[in-house]
Amino acid sequence: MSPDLSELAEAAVRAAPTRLPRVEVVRARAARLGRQRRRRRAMAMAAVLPVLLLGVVAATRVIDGPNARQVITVGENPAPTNLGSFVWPAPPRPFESFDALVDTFVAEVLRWPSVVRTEPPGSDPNGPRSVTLVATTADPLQMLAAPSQAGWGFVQIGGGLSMVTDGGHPAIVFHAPPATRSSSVEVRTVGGTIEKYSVEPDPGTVVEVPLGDNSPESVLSVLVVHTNRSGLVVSVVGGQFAVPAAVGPVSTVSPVPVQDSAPPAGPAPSTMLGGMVIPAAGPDQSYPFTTLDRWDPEADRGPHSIVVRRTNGFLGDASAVVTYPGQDGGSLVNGRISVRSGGRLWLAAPGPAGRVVARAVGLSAEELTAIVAATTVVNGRPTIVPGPEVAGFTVVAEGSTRPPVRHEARYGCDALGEREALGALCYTGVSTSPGFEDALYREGFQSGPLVGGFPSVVSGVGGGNATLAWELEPGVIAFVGNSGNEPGADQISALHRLAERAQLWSPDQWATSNPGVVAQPNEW
Amino acid sequence: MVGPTEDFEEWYRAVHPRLGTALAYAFGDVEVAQDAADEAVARAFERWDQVSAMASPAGWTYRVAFNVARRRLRRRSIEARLLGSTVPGTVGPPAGELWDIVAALPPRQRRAVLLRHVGQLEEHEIGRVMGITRGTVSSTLRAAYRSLRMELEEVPAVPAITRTREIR
Repeated sequence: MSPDLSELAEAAVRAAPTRLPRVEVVRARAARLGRQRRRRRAMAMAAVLPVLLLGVVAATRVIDGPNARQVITVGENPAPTNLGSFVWPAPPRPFESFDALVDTFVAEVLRWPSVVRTEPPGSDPNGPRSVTLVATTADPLQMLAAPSQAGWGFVQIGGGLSMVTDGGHPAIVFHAPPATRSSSVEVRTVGGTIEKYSVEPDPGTVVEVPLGDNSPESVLSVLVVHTNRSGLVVSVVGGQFAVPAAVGPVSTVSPVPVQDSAPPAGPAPSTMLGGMVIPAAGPDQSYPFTTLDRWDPEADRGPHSIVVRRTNGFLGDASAVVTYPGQDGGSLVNGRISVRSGGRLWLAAPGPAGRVVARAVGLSAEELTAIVAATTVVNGRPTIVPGPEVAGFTVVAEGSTRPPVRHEARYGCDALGEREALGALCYTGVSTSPGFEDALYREGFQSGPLVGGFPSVVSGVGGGNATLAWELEPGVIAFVGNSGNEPGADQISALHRLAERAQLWSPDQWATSNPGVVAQPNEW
Repeated sequence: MVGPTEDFEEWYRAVHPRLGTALAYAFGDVEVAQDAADEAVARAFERWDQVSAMASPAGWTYRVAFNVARRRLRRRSIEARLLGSTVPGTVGPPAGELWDIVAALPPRQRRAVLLRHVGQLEEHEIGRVMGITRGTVSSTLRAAYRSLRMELEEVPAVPAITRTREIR
């Protein structure tokens, strides 16, 4: 039942922060909107007809006119393959090495005469790798490349590329560097086509390029190349906006017997984990499912967290998560415990450049206070200093709040026999990220059934409608979830059935599934 | 309920203040709220024959306004990131403990509460505005009410904690 909130409605009328426009102003704005809509419709028709003709003859030609926004070429390309999620190369080409990929990109796209490459130390030669290209004639260009079974490709180039939608139609938004004379926009769609647009932006401005009648979901990736008055490339930006064939038979994988299912000992970076999969009932059966690696190259620059448990604690009880710098929406007063539903306690304390925010479940206010008081920020990361005040507590996970990588397996719930209870999409995952538990204590959860003898929790953390999570061992959290049906007893039972069947794959086993790769902030 | 014979001017004078308030405190930016509310009522005016015939003209208008606000904020965020410009200051809620507590709710709960109690929309209308199901609206509101009740109660006092240290 709602508390008495009538004050909100009264204040909204009595002291609205916005001004009521005169009706003449409303009419004038409506007239302007009408003119804009009619103009957009006319431009769309002018663009669509030539595009249709071009599609029929599979030709490439300049459409017409000096307008800044126009479709220049439309051509057919092979349907997306397992390289379909790469920003470059497009169409796919199987680069056998990371070096070959970078060298070819420099030669074919940048055409910079002299380039210095820098890579962060300790890069995994077999994992996604970031590289920065530095030339005397342009700003440094950061790129992220990922391997696949069919070769290497770039999943992100530069930064600052966004997609907005208006009336269901997407537009790409980017910043045109000051020296830009022309920007070439190459859009790869899930249908396998590549559409090219050309704009002549005002240098130094933010540019919005409408992508015609494409739907936002149909845009796979975009590559924008900025050139100057002399035709030299001054900058490139590219990114992904969709993952091809999220669920379906495209990359059917037959689960193989798990040979190395033991999770790594102690808190391990999630990059060392494989993923959770749901094996088929029989040796001759398989489910169509796809695997996905969500990489967050900026995760380490974001907040960091520590998960602390009392000796008798477990996921969802007698535990706390300390985050620095922590976000609380400005609702916390330093040093004052805030009590949330389900017995969750929140507490904030001042830190060097932001606040330490701690959230706990199953702990007393004094215990949480002692944990925060024992927290020290070292090089921007929270650390618990051992002492008598925190005796009986153990750190079970620590690291960036956003995981550097999330391994997900995605299934049609129908294939798993759970469509009625769970709806369309089911997914599994495993993580050592302390951010999962922080989100759990931030958003709230309910206790779930035991999974393999371990307590579980049900929440909305992890996306979808519900996620059932449990610990494989302290700090290593596995989860199954669904997107489609609302939480309820039937849904939780179905998730529990899937959780009991789920198995952990080793990194090598995971690699055999040829996961798609996307680069994104891995918020929980 | 507004029917097809309602006069637009009377309707928008009733809707705009609530809409502007809900937007301002849902998104924390009065400038964006003003623009989104103005644009939404202008769009309603432009197609008033259709909008006024809808079961809930206000529901449609809130949906348009919230979409406009989201787009404006996204655009502003992009511009701030790309051009290094500063984001305008946020709006503070009217003085009062209840507003403070509502403002501290998680964004989804806060928006649901504002749409329900300032916009006075039904749950299915809130679902359309927020792009979530009616069931999720119900559970979101329930969670918000739990938090509000809890925040309006006394909380236990705890010992003061020391300032955290930094070691470099």
